[in-house]
Amino acid sequence: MTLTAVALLGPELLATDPLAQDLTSRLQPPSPAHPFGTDRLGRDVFARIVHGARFSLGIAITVTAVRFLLGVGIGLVAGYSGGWIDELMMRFVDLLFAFPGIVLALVIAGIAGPSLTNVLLALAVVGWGTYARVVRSEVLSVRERDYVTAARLSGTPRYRVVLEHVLPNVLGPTIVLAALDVGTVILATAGLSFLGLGAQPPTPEWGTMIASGRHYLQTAWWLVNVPGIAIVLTVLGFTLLGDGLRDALDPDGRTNRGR
Amino acid sequence: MHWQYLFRRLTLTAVTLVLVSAVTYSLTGIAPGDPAELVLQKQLGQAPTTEQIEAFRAKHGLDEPIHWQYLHWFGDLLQGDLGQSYYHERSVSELLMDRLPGTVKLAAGGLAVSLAVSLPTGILSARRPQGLADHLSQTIALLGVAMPNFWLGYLLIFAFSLKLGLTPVYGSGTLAHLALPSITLGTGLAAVQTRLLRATLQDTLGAEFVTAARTRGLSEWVVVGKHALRNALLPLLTVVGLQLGFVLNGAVVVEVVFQRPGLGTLLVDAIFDRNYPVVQGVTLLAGVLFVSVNTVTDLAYGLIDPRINVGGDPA
Repeated sequence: MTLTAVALLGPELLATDPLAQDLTSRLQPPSPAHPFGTDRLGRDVFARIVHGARFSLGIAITVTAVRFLLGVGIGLVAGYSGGWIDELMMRFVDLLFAFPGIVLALVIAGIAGPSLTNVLLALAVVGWGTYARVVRSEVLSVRERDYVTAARLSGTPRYRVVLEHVLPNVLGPTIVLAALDVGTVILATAGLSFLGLGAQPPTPEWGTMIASGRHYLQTAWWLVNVPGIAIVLTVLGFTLLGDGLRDALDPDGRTNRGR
Repeated sequence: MHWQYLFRRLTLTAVTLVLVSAVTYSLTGIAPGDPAELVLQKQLGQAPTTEQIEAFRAKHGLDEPIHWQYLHWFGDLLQGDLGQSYYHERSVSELLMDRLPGTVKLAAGGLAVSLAVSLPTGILSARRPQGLADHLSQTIALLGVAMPNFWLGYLLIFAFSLKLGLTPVYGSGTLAHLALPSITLGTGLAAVQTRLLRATLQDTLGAEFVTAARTRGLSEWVVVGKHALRNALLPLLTVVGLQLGFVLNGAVVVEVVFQRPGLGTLLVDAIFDRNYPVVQGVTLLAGVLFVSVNTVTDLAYGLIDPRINVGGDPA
């Protein structure tokens, strides 16, 4: 919550321009004027971190949303239709799982050309398979339940059966998955940006900041470590959120904990 | 194990591998721009002439329609030929063989570090849930998952190489060069392993046969080490297998941080150079390794655990 607030409001409230250069105060250690110090062009690291939150969170949430919609949609169709449609879609998902995800995203983003948009697309394309698998297996267990059969037999159109009776009952695990996924995507985006495929300097993206700060490891420790800590705290937040949601939404998980 | 099952599993693997090769090849087909022009521009340092471009395309078979290119590439692939790198007149398979040992060493180092951490902490925290060791290991597990490995790499370089001067910063060759990259790669692996080991060990420690062993008066070491651990090893083996399949994911970043020659740095360089034959080679290798590891893990599971009847034949 705090992080979201920082990402949304931070850039508006903060007067300091993350791109403003001040060559007279280059590589300054943290001080009251610059709480996280300045970088090699005299830019305020604190302002860059706050602005970077918007990139990292914005991308992570967009990628997760695309994965979620694509995966849930395909999982629903595959699970409810069954037959060759199901078979075809699931073999396609298997194929996605035949490559290590980051490597595949790296190749796609690299070939499409370095940019944040391409990283976003690559990560979305690579990662929806898990959602599809989870939703499909949930659908399979729900579709023969009495209330679904009743709806079907009473002449409800197919899409309404799926949307009104099946979908609400398969969403729980997917939401947990999505919360945990946001953290994974933040790490992946930062990693790809670090390799030079995502945000390009001077964009204040956390992974890019670590990549350009690494040359000053000995002289200016804050350039690498402040964005690093920002990433850890954000990912940690979403992991804990996901764990909490799991406890709340997944009754089996709760019974396990009691043992 | 049933031969029929084995046959079916291997056929499925073969089909997947062919599809993997098709995906690998078509990925470079979506690339914008003409690789011939871009690569020649880089090599010559000036805009290439039309003849040079034509010659380059003919040499690398780029003058054919994409599906013929793929069929040719696939045909060569079956004979172990992955094509020529766009640079330095070297074959792709030669480059892969050059770089593979670096990544294998890193993977082995990372795995060794991760097991050295996860086995003791997993056991200790399962023995005393909610104890000090348990809280500590859970914190480590959480941090290990949330920490970007490239940052961890720089933290280690900062502490051990720059401040303490214990290890060389970059490069490869000696065991000392391998230490920090292995720790960097191993931390993430250890986090997942510890979580799993703790959960499965806690389950088995509550099982009847463990209580039975305890009531027979066996020492705690024997109970945990011999009876409980053996049952927790199978899930651990599966996860380690999966992690090995994924290892290139982490190796890419770790190799770039420590500037180690390996498949990861080879891939990243090839991507920026638009050296597509090499990109295809590494991607294909990653896919093949991943699919093979999965198949082997599946089959090993059936062999080790007699309770799993993979043939579907009621025993």
